[in-house]
Amino acid sequence: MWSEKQESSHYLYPAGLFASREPVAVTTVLGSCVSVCLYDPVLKIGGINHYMLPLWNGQGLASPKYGNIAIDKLIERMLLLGACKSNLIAKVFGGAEIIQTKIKQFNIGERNILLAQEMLSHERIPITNMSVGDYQGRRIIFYTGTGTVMQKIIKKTDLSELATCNLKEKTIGAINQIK
Amino acid sequence: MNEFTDKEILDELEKRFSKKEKAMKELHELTLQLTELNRQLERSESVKGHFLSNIRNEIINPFSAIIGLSGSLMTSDKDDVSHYRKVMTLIYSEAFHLNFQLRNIFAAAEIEAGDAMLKIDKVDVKSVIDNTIDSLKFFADKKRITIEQHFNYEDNNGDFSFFTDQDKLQLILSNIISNAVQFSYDNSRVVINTLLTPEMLKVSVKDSGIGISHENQKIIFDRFSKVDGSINTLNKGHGLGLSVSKDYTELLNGSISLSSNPAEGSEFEMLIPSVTGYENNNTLATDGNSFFFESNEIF
Repeated sequence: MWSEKQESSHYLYPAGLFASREPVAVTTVLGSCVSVCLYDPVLKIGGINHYMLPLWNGQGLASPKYGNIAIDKLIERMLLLGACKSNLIAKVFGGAEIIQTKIKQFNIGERNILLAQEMLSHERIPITNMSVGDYQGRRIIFYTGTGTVMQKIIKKTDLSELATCNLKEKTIGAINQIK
Repeated sequence: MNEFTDKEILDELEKRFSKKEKAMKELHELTLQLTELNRQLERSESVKGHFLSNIRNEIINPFSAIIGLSGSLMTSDKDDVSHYRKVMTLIYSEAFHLNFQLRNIFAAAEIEAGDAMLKIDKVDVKSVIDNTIDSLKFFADKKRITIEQHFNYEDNNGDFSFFTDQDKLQLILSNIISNAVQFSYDNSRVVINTLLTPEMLKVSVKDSGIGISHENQKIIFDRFSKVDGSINTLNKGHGLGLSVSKDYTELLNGSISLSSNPAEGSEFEMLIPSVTGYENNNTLATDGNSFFFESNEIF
């Protein structure tokens, strides 16, 4: 049993991005969304994103709602804060299959995870820890000062919390992919 | 080694062929998607270029106008009130559009940087809508457009309050209503229907303007897209307003939709739920104690 001391905290909304040189506890709730946490263990700088769909298709704003943009922007932001790219390590969370479907292309969670793995390996950032896939949502707290991530699985009975995240994913995600 | 019967070999072959076929089909689908994606990115690049060339028209020109007009006021005859009034009206109009556009540009930049955050408060929805209409009244009057408002809040115990982000709601409504005013014919009506319940807020804005073709309805929420893309268009704006509105409604967990037929006008409908879930955003559990984590929950 273990818990970290209270420090300043931040809630990360879907399609948001956060990075800091100061120690901050960032909380976010993930369904089929994926969060990539980047950490520079030498300079103790941490950053996290929360994307809902894998690829930006040129529609709407080029926001970190889309994985390819969210990961690029997160790396950019980390380097801007002074992090050294060769130091960076990554931890990846989320990508659950909340809406079950047989058609592979609609597996948003799985495609979100794949994208993180591909992009990070392309950027040569090692993934040191991962908790992805499965059928249940996650609530994670990322400590930017230590790079530690704490995770609670959201039980199916506690759907109210996930609803905020998933209702949105269900509608936007599914619709966008079908379009 | 096991001996296979002919049938077993044939079955196996068939299985593998069908597997391959499936993979090929998936590959084909992906290629199609990729081509489509490429096409859209190319398009997006070209509109972005167009946007940059528009900036000159849309920002520098109003500024020059404001500077020129206010300069002329300083040197003009002190007693000519009607002249003052005319020039002030022009300055107001230019400054209003400039302000509105800059708001949208900054909002879009914030969204694209992933910095957009919610500030949830108890909001008086009626006054937000009234203020928005008031701010656009000048432009509606100029085209002799009447803005009609129907507000149904009986299910909300006759109360106008609603939990949401006031600034975001205001910008969404400003964009939709100003669009309606802009694309309406002179002497027509814009009808705003609001339904407020404790769970959700629904606002629909209907104009009787030129309408939007089905083709254009697909791109209307894209950034930098304007139905009439020419520089000399009378329609002001960067085509950012609706994409900002869409992303803001999504941030608020809601949705925005459009139904329109050319020549019959358009109706935008915004639906957002009352935001309460996000408040529980610290690391405290419901009973006030910190969450405790097992070793397998720490990464």
